[in-house]
Amino acid sequence: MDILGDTRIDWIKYRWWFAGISLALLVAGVFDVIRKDGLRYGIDFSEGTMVVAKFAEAPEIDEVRAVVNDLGYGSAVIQSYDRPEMNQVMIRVEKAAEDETGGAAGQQSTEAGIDETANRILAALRGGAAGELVSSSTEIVGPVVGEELRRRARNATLMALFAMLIYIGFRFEPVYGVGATVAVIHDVLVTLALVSLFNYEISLNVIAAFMTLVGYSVNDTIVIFDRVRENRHIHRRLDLGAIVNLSINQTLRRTVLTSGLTLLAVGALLTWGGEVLRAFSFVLVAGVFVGTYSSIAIASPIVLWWRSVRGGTAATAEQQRPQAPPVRV
Amino acid sequence: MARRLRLKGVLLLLLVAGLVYVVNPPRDTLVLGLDLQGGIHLVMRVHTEDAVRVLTDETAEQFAENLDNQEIDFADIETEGLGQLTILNLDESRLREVRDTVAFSWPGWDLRSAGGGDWSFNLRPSEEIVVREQTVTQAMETIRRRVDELGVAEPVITTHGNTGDQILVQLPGYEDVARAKEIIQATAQLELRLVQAGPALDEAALPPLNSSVENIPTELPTGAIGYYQVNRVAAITGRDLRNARQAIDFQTNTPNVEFSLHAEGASRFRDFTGANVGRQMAIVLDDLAVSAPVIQSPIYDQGQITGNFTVDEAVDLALVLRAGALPASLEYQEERTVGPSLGADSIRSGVTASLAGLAGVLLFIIFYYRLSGMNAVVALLLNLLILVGAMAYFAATLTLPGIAGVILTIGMGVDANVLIFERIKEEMRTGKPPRTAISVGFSRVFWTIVDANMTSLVAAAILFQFGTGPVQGFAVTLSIGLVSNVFTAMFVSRYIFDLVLSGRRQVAALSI
Repeated sequence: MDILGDTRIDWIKYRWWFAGISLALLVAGVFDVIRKDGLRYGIDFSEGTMVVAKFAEAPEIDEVRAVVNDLGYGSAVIQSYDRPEMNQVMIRVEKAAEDETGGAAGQQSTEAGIDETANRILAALRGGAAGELVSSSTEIVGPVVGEELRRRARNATLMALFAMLIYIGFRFEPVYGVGATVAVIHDVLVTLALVSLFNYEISLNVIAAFMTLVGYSVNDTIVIFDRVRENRHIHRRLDLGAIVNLSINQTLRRTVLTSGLTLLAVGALLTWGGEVLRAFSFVLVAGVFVGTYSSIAIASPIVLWWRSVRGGTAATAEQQRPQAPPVRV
Repeated sequence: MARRLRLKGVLLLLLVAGLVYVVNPPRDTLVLGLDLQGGIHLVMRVHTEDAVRVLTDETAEQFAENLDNQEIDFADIETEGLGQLTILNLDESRLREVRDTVAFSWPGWDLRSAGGGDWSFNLRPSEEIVVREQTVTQAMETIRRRVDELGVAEPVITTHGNTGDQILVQLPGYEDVARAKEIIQATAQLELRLVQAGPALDEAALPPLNSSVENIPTELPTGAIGYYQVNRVAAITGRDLRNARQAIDFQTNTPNVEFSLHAEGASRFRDFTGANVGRQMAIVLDDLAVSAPVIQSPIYDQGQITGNFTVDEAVDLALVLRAGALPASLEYQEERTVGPSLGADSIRSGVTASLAGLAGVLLFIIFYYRLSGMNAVVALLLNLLILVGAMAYFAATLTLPGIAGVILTIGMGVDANVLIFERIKEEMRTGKPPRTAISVGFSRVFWTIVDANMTSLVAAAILFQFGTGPVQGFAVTLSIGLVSNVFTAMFVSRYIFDLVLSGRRQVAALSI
């Protein structure tokens, strides 16, 4: 059984369209981020309020979560607290935004914000959907990820990207390393734009999803590059543009199957994984799309473009090749 | 051929049996993180006044030294309280110089006349707040290093409450909570100080105290408490340590802690021991002299701490010395068990969704690739088993970021199988018989799969080396997964093909 017949799509012809699509998404993302005063960071990165609520009977975590979510605290951390028979739940939400606290300055604004946040949550819990509230206590908690951890994570990621660039450059040619790396950066930025457009918050788990995206994108790019490497030895007569097209077409069935299957897995997580995992699985789903797209639309054209700048064959590549060569070899 | 296949089969079965043995029962062998299983919730108070007291003492000492160096007369410097010093009988004719010194070296301190030639020298309240805040930050960093050394993955460590001196620590799991608490709380303030007198059973038996010495308690061989009189200024402190590890003393055959000093500490230590050969040096740990060996000869960058330790105590002492001293003592205020931070409800739905997704993927592979699809399914399931087995074997903690690594592994595992099968089909379309197509297909994609997985492995290695917490958790599962990916896709899937086709003389068609 085959999912696709042989294709002869001239992918390279559409490279400016692709660039346009990516650019449009990025611009939309930048505007959205500016409009919303930056990306939304979750409780992991900011100071927050911690409420411990004691119920008359054992509370259901998902009912408590539903109540808290209705207040607009998307990334609340809700854990059972102390021994089960104590019927206690600990709720951590991020600090209320400045404008919600009425703009009072300094320490007072923080404390007013904490009290107000806690009061809103407790009032909603008293509403009764999650059971009768017996008592509660409130505290301020700091961010889980401090400056030092953030710095180390950033450095580690940059070094890892650089190592990938070196490895690919070494195993293929330096320009392929550049193409793959630019594609990965493109993927991260476009997905960040989507995260902002769809109003998701960035948490530690979302960052792990971003790393998954990077790995997936690089894998997908390498498969195409590998085919290019192979075809360049077989078809020594063809120019690089034709070879890139041929390679993308030859691997297209595999690309559709792999991406489709991975999408099936992460799509299930997005659909049935529940509220807490939504941002995480959204990034995974977006990552499969964007990572697959960028191998064809960004990584390959960059290799080609670099070659044309260095070798002066860009224009000729376009003219000599009115149609894509046959796929069958 | 058949014998080799049989040997491979036996090896594979042994591997599976071993993995099942390691993993079974999963509830006990798999370590789950705070987000998936919950753990222990600790709130502690940092005695920030300790740090202010140390600063006050240090300032008194250094300020006196400074005045001496400038040959400015004064009777004594007395400590009145936290951040409060009084300089008795200061030579007021040289007040200008003193003020300049204060402005230059102690900008956070105020110098005011207390009348009668005495001057009060006080830490500004705003400066004291900064010192206290820094103390809490340092304590949090030290706790994080210690928890990391303990091998606990992805703890929550942050500030708590609005008094500014509380720390919240959440650790996954419930095992050995007592040990974790002790290690977090150990002040681990190590000092090597010159002994002036002692040990004596009674402080009164020691020479009278002056500003450069103090008495420190010790446990005498008889079990009674005695005292050493030692220099107030330590020759070496925990900050000079480069490394520390548990070892066994050859002469007494008892556990001890060996330490080494970094270059600057080592040169100071050499000078100090060289100048004091034949005298006693007290090893002071948290204001208790654990031993007081005689300096036999100048010592360079190595030393050992002997005391009445058990092996476990020595291991823990080495750990806290490596991780550094706490700037102030800690007091536990709250200890509770907490449920998983993702919430039990989310975990349930997440597990259901993941299993549904995985089942969907596997069913589609069988549907699409028919019998050959079974190879891929076996390869993928074995891949998961290897991953779980390795996690259990290394006692690595599984968290949601780790599961992200698993998802990437599965995606790349699916890709490897799809690559192989599509390549085999491609080869068959060119008219090659199945056996040849399989052999060519596998060899063609070998480097594709190795390159793809190696690239990620290189990145994962760097993330593991330089990352922290969730970044490392991701890197661990990803690295294990990538290695087993190459193994299952290239070796196991191939083996099944060979096994199925080995019985037949001529293979006309392949179910793919």
